[in-house]
Amino acid sequence: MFESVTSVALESALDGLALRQRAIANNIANVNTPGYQAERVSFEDTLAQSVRTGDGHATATTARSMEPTRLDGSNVNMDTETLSNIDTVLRYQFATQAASGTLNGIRTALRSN
Amino acid sequence: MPLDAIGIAGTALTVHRKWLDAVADNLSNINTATATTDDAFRARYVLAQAGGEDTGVYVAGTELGDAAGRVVHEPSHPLADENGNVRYPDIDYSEQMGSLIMAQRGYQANAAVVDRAKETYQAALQIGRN
Amino acid sequence: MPAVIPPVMGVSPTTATGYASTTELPSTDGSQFATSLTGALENVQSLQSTSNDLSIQAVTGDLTDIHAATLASSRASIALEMASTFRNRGVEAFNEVMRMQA
Repeated sequence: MFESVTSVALESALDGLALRQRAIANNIANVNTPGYQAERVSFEDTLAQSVRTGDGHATATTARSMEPTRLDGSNVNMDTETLSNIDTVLRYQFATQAASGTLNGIRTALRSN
Repeated sequence: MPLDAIGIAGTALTVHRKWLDAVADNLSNINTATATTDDAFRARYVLAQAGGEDTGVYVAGTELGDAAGRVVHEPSHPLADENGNVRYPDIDYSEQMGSLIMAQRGYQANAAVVDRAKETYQAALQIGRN
Repeated sequence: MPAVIPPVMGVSPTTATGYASTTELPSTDGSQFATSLTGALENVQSLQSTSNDLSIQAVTGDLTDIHAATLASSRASIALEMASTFRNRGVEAFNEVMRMQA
């Protein structure tokens, strides 16, 4: 029941988005740290692939941005991070709602007369 | 032990707060004179370093500015030596103002991260709520 | 007056037990239902255990992804409700929930 492709995929998405949220927090925390390279989290492609094969599990991966750093600074682009942060929050909110929807659906079925 | 987004932003708020304090201190002492027998007021520079494994940022150390400063001929100054010289700090006003703005922006950006992390926590708490 | 249907080829007459379901039912012989019920009950134990572990981690600051705890807690709660409902309402409840599985 909780092992359906949808349930597993939603949980993988939540894990990936939470990791991305932390990577963004780390990037913004180090926006003024000399030599710091921004982190990027990926999981959407792996997740889509996994769902296609009827699985749903996907592990998120982190990579460093190879863009050049500013003089005595990081390579973090504040605007990019801000937009990404807002995007991540919205997707996370959606995923929690979707997960809730499935759970509440089962509850409704259990309580129907 | 890994930090969550709020914890990470918290470390940055601390670092940027220390940075702001240092810059404010530098600016308020830009005209502090000392006798030539002493060091000049030395500007404070906060050295930021990334914590390993997504643990945000921390202050690795502090660097002090030039002890020699600028020797200025000002015989009327109470601290002037027999040649009429006093020491002033070697602090550039516009450089410090630039730092102040960066430190302030950085502080505000990290405060915003906390707000957004709070939104995700609230969403997570709604899972399975009737 | 209605005639009693004579047994045909060894089939005994049956009496009506209620209205017939209008949708397709998966085969509901006793064994499959019993398996699901057992599974649901076993699941309750492990889901509750997982949920407890994650709750402790969350309150002691050892959990960075809070959704893991809330998901586990919701699943444990639903599994418990499922087991209880299956016990009380039997096959009919089981079919209701199975119909949800798209």
